[in-house]
Amino acid sequence: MSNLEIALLSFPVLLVLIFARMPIGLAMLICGFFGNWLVLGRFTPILAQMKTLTFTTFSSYSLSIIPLFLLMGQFAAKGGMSQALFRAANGWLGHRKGGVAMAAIGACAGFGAICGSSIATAATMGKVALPELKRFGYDGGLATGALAAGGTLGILIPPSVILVIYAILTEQNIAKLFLAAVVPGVLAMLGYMLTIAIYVRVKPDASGLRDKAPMAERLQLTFEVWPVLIVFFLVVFGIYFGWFTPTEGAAIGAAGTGLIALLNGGLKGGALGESVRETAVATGMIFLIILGAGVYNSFLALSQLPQEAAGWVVDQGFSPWMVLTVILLTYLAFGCVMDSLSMILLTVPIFFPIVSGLDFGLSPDEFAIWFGILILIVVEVGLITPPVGLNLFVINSMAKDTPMIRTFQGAAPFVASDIVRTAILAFFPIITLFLVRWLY
Amino acid sequence: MSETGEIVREEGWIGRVVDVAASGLAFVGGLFLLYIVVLTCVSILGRALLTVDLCCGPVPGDVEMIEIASGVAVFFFLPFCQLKRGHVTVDIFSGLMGRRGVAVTDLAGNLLMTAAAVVILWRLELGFQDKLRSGETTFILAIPLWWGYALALVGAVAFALVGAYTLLRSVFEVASAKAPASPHHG
Repeated sequence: MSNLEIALLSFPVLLVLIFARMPIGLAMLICGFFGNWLVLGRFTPILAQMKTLTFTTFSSYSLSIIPLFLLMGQFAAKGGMSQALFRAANGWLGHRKGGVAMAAIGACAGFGAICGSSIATAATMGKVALPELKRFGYDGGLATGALAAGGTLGILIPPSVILVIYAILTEQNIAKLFLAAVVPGVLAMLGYMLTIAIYVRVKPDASGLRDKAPMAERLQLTFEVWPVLIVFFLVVFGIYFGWFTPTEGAAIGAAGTGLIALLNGGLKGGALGESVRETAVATGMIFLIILGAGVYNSFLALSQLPQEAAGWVVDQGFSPWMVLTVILLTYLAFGCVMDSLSMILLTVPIFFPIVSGLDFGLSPDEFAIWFGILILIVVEVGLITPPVGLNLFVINSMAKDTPMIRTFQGAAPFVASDIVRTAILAFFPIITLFLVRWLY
Repeated sequence: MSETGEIVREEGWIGRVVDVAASGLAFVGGLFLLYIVVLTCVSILGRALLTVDLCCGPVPGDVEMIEIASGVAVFFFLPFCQLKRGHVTVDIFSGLMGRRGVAVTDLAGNLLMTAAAVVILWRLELGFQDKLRSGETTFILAIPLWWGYALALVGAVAFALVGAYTLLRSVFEVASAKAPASPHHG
């Protein structure tokens, strides 16, 4: 068997292991380990590597940003900021048609600005917004679908764990990627709100009405979200202006949300321990995937597969747009069954060399940023598509009287909104890039 | 990426001992993270004060300390994550597998995870020996590299032990055809 054949054969093996409910990180670790052995003919090299590989991977300065962002999100969830955000958004939007659902989306976006994780955002905002939505007569499908979609804003709006991983994999500047994600993130929020506006006009009985809040009250409520704004601007712009490194920014963010939580009494009675344990579980999960993907990708690199595949695609003379479309559709399809982080870690080392060899009329750096934002969006769609969209399950488990199928249906218009947005951003790279061009 | 479900407590006295030990270790890992947070804040404050010509400057060797603390923290988190079923699995075929099928795949997964944990421990210990012999240190603070490895070994031993416990746990689950507690969503 040639090395290339070994590498190609490793995909079905990996998929079988994954579908047999093997933890994804472990499956990649095992395939990479044995693949390495098959290519090199002996175990010595990989075993020698593993003496230092685990510790050097886990103690990487750029990766240490991940547990810090997770801790930041946990503190944010405990800090009561979710209520303040929702009340403020509700003051401005609540009285409109579908307004309470729109307010939930707006609050999710605000929360996403201090939390880098989709599921944490969905769960935190779900707790706050679901009872209100129910109180004002919102249909269960719309309520749960909107919140599940709103949760993805946690990742789409920086800071974002997925973008950090992408930046490391493709050796891009994290600050530029965060900056580039801002406008598409805001577009996502507006797109979801528009979706709600259309939804309640097509189905007028899906929502109720709420009284208009007086201007003074709105301003008062808006004023109460200032800690969120401070933390967001400190982290994103601090990194951007070079006041501190991304890792330092994450530590500052954790300190900020931690302080807010402390002052609001959110860390009382074992809540600190709970935040740490939640961070521990998520960190362990992510770093096992990073370790496994590292071993697996080094095996693929050894087999020359990524280079061969990239050369093959260029030789075939496919149109760049066709290749991009196929890749984005692949992500959408895989997103239905896999989690976003594993997908990024598994596929970017293969897809990125392929697409960066194609000409989209952008400089290599700009291309990397644009491509990163596009795949960030398409992998996140996987969180709100059946059968394994995690956000759907998280939110549905909180709304006991809404059947799962209603949540699936309720999320469908938001998936459509995601796809439309991806197409717009793909055809007009300038939307993603203008902020980076302007500020750099 | 984060998690929402209640953290399920372990049953039986062995389970409770493992639970307390693993969550204790995870908490210590969390203290390492908090140390990074505080260290960074102090360092940035020092740097800011330096730019306005007041005093101080960044903490020397902060990057080195952050790296070691982060590596140790991750090793301290791994056993807890394994215990709480925190690893991502694809559950699209669970419906077809039935309760016993799911329990069997859990058993296989925990078996391989334990094997991986043992290999990781074995190699890490050799790496530790290397660093101890070579006497390598970090660049600025001259912290011996083996310190980080020694602390990480504690986590790696715990990972292997917890792996063995989860293996045992899934043997019982297969025997009783009991569906595993729902995963701690990741």
